[in-house]
Amino acid sequence: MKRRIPQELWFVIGGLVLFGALFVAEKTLNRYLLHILILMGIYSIATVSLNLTNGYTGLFSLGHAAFMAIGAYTSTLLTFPVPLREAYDLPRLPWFLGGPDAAWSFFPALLAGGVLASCAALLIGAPVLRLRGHYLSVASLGFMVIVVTFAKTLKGITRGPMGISAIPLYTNVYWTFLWLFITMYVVWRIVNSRFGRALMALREDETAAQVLGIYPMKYKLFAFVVGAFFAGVAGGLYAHLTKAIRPFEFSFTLTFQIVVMLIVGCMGTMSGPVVGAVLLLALRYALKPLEEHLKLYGLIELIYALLLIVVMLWKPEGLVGRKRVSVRGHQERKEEGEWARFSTPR
Amino acid sequence: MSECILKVENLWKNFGGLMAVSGYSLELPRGAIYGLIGPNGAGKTTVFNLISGVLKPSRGRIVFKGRDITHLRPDEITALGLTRTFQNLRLFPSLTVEENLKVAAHVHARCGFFSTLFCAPSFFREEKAIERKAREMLERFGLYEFRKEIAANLPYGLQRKLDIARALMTGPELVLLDEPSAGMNTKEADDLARLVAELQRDFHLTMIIVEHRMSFVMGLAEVIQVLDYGSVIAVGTPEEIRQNPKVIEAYLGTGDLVA
Repeated sequence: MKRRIPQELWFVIGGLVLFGALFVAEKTLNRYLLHILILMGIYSIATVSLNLTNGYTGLFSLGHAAFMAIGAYTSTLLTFPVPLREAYDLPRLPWFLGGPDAAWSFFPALLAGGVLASCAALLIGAPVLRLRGHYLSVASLGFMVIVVTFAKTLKGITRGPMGISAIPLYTNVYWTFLWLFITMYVVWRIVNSRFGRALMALREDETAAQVLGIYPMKYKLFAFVVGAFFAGVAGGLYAHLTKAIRPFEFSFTLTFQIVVMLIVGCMGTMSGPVVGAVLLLALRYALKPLEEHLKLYGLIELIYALLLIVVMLWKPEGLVGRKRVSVRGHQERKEEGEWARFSTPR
Repeated sequence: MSECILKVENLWKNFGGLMAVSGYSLELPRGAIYGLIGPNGAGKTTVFNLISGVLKPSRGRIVFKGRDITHLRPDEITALGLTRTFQNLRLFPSLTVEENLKVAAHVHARCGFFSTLFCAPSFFREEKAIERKAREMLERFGLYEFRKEIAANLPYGLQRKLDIARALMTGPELVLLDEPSAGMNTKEADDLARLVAELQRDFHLTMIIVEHRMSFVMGLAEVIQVLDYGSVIAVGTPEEIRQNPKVIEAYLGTGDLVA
C-alpha cells in the first residue's frame, strides 16, 4: 500500500513531463524528425498492447498487425471526406453510420477502429486461444493472412491492393502520445490488479492457475481483446499519419517488426516495449541514409533480424529485463507428472 | 457421524487402453483427514486430478457439499471450496512469493475491470484485504522474510510450504495434498506434519493426503485407503493398514517372484 502512492504520483509527473517535452519538440523539431517521433509513439502503442498478450499472458500472438489493419481501414473509411469519395471509388457511409453525407471526426473514428478490432479479437480468440504455444502463434498468423486477403479482395470497400490514399492528416504528436499515455495507463492498472496477476499466473502455469480459481479462457480473451483495441487505435493513428494505406503494409513485415521491438525491449515489463520501439525506429532512421547511399535496400530488415538473434542469444530477457519473465517458459512443464507415473515400471 | 463433505461414487478413468482408476469410491466426513497410499502408478494422483476437475472421469459421480461437481471446471470447483496442491510443485516460478499468494485470492475478489481502471475506492479496499490475508499466511508459514523473493529461488522445503499456503489462500474447506513431504528430510517432514495438523484445526479443514512417507501419513490420517492398479484394495485405520497382508503384498510383491 505504502509503495503504491508514489507509483501513481510518478505516473502523473511522467505524463506532465511528457507533454511538456512534446510541446517543446513540436515547436523546435523539423517536420521529418517530428514524423519519426510520432511513428515512435504509434509503434510504442502497438508494442505495449502486444506485450499484454505476448509478455504478461504468455500467448505468443503474431496477429497484431491484423488488428492494426482493421483499425486503420475502419477509421479511414469513417473519416474519408465526402466530396472525394466518388473520385476514389469509396462507398459512402450507410444510414446507421451517419448517412451518405457524413464523415466522422478523428477521435470517434479511432475509437470505432479500436472497438472493431476488439470485436474481431473476440470472434477469433474463442477458437484460437484454445491452442497453446506454437500452435497459437501459427493460428494467429493465419488470422493476419485472412485479414490482409480481405483487404485485398473486398475491392468495393477497401479499393483492393492499390489501397487508399488522400486520407486526411489528423495524427499529431499530441494525439499519438495521449493514446500512448492511455495505453500505458490501462496496462499499468491491469498489471497491478487481480487481472494482471491472473494473466501472469496463466503464463507461468495454466493448470495451477485454474486450480486456484482462474478461468483461463476468460482472462486470455480479456488480454487479447484489450490488446486488440489499442492495436486498432495504433492502426488508425498510422493511417492518418501516412495518409495512405495498402493491404501489404499490415502483413509479415509489420508483425515481425513489432515482435522484434517487444523482444529486444523486454517482454512483460512496463518500459521494455517502449524502449524497444524507440530504439529500433531510431536505428532504422539512422541507417536509412546509409541504406540509400549503398543502394542496399532491405539492409535495415537484415539488421533487425540480426539484432533479434543477438538479443535472443546473449540477453534473452531483453535490454531492460531483469527478472519477471521466466525464459524457461511454462511450456515444458505440462503434464509430466501424470505421464511419468504411468511410464514408471513397477 | 458428522456430515459427509465429499462423496465419490464408482469413479473410472481410462487413458486409451490403460485403466488408471477403476471403481474408486469414497465417503469423506467433514473435518477428517484421510490418507491415500499405494505403489507408484496406482492412480493416486489421477484420483486427485479427477476430484479437482483437472481430468474428467470416464464414469462415476463426485458430490461436494451435496452438489454434483463431476462436470464442473477446476476453477468452479475451487470457488466452491475444494482445492489441491501438486506433487510436482506447480508454483508460478517467476512471480514473487507474495504474488504467488495474491493470485490465489482471486476467487473471492469482486472488483470489476472499470473500478480497477479508475482506481475506485472499492479497488483499494479489496487490494488491502488481499494484502492483509497474504501477510497473515506468510507469517503463519514463516515465509514473511522471503515475500519479495522469486518463488523459483526458494529452497525446496519452503516451496512446498508456499504451495500449501497458496492453496489455503483460496479459502477452501477441503484440501487435497499431493505428496506434501516429497523431497524433504525427516526433520522437515515432521515439522510439516505438525503444521498440517495445526492448519487443519485452525482453518477447520478436511483433507485427503497422498503420501509415500508412511510415518507422515500414518501420524496424520484417521483413515487410510490403499490404492493398487486403480482400485481400493484396503481401507482402515493406520494400524489396520499396517497389518493388512494385501497391502504388504502390493508394496513388496508375493513370495513367489521369479528373479
